[in-house]
Amino acid sequence: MATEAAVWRWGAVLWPSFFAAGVMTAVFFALIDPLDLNAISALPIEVTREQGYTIGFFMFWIGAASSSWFTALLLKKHDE
Amino acid sequence: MSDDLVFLYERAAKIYPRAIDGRFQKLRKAAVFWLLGMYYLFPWLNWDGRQMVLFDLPARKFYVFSWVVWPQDFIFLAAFLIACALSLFFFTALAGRLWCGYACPQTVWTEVFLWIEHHTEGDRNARMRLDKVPMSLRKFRIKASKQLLWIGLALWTGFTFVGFFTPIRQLALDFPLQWDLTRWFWVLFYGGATYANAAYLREQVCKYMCPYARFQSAMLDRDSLIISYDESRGEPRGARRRDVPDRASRLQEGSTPSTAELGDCIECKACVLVCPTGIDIRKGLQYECIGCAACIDACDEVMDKVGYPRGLVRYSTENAMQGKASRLLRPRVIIYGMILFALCASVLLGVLLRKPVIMDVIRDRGALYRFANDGRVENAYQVKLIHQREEPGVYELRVLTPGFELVAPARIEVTAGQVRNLAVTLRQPEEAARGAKDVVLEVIDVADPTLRVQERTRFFGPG
Repeated sequence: MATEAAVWRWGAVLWPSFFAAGVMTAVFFALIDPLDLNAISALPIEVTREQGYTIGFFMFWIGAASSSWFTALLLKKHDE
Repeated sequence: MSDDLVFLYERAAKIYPRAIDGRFQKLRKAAVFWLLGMYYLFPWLNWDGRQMVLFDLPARKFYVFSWVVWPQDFIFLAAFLIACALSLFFFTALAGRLWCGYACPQTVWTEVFLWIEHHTEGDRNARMRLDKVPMSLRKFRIKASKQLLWIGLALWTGFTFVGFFTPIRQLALDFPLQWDLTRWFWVLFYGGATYANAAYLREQVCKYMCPYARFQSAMLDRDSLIISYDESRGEPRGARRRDVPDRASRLQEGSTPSTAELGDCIECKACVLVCPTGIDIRKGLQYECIGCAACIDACDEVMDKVGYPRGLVRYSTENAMQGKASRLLRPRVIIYGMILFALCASVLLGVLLRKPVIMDVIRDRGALYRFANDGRVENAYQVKLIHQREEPGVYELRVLTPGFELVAPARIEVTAGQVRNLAVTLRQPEEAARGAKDVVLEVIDVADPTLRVQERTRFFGPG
C-alpha cells in the first residue's frame, strides 16, 4: 500500500510536469532556434539542434517537476 | 485539497475486461485500424521524393503532405492545436467522451494490447485461471509469447515514433550500428511508455493521470449524449425465469404481481464484466467511464438473447432519461461549433493565402539619418528575406514610394529555404527629406512577378 501510494505520488509529480515540459518545449523552440541560443550563451560548448532540444526539454521538465514535487510535499505535510 | 490525495487513490485490483462484439465495438475497431494504420504507415510513404509526413527538427521544418511548415508558421500550429482543443469541447458537449472511447492513443493502443492478450492467453476466464495457477512450462510459454508480442509491438511503435522525426528509411538502414544515443533513447523511451501504458497502466492512466477526465464535467450538461442505464426501465433488477417477458409487455398484458415488479435488468453483470475501467454503468455517470460503449454492446447482446428490446444501456441524455424534452442543438453546442468553424476557416484561408516569401524591414539602430558624400540624406535598414521554398530563387527589391532612391543588390539570390539578411540604404535629396515619412518597400520574385510582398517602414530626415 505504502509503495503503491508512493508510486502514485511520483506519477502525480512526474506526469503533469512531463506534459507541461512537452508543451513548453514545443512553444519555446518553435520561436527560438537552439543554435541562436547557443551562440549567445556563456557556455564554452557547441551543441547541435537535437541536443539543444533535448537539453531544453529536460530543463523544462526538471523545473516543472520541482514545482510539482514541492506542491506534493506541502500537501503531504498538511496531511500528516 | 489534501484530501484529494487520499480519496482519489484506491488500491487497484487488476481488471480483466471480457471481450465483446457489437455495433459500437465494430466502430471502435475500425477507428483503431484507421488511426494506427495512419501512424504505422505514414512515415513510409513518400511525396515528391521526400517523406510524406516528417517533422524535421534539426532543419526546423515540418513536412505534411505537400505543405512545408516553417518556424514562422508557428501561428498555424498554435491555431491547429486550439482547434483540436475546441473540437474536444464541441464533441464532449455533443456526446460525452467520444475522444476517450474511440480516438485517444491510450485507448487505441490498450485495445491492441488487449487483442494480443486475448489471442495468447484466451478469454477472460482463461486469463484469470492462468494468473491463479503456479508457474509451469505451459504458463511460461503463454506468458512469454504474450510478452514477446507486446515488447515487439512496443519497440516497433517507438521506432515508428522516431521515424516521424528522422527519415524512417534511413533510420531502418542505419539500424543498429549507426544509431546514436539520441535515437536509442527516444525509441526505447516511447516504446517503453507504450508498453507500460498499454500493457499495465491501462485504465489507471484514464482514472488517475488524465486531466481531461477531471474537467469533462464542465463541458457536459443535461442534454449531452452519454452512455446511460435506463433506470426506470431496468429497476428493480433481478434474475428471473426464462419465459418472463419484458416489462413493457408485462404491463400491457397484466401478469402476476411478483414478476410485474421486476424491471428489465436481469442482473447478468455483462455490462460490468466488459468494462475496461471496471465500473458499473448502472450507478450512473462516473468520471471513470471512458465512453467506450462496451456495456451497450454487452447489454444489447443479452437483451437480444432474452428477447427484450435493446437499449437498456444506450447513448442518451440526462433530460431524456427523466422524460424531459432534450435537444442536441443548444447554445453551448452552437457556440462551440461556430468558434470551431471560424477558426478552421481562418486557418485554411491563412494557409491558402500564405505567400512563400516573408520580408521584414528593420531600421538600423544607431543614427536616425546621415548625410551621404553628395549631401543627400540617407537612412539604413536591415531587410530580412525568408525564402520558404524548396528550390533556389532570385528576388528583386525596390522602393514604391516616389522620391526615394534605393541602394541594394540588384539581384538577391537565395538557396532553398534560406533566410537572408541584407543591409540596404534609402536616399533622398536634403531639401525633400524633412521630418518622418512612411516608405514602402517591395520584394518581387523575378521568376514569378505575381509574387510580391510589401512592407512599410519609416524614413527620417533633419528638422
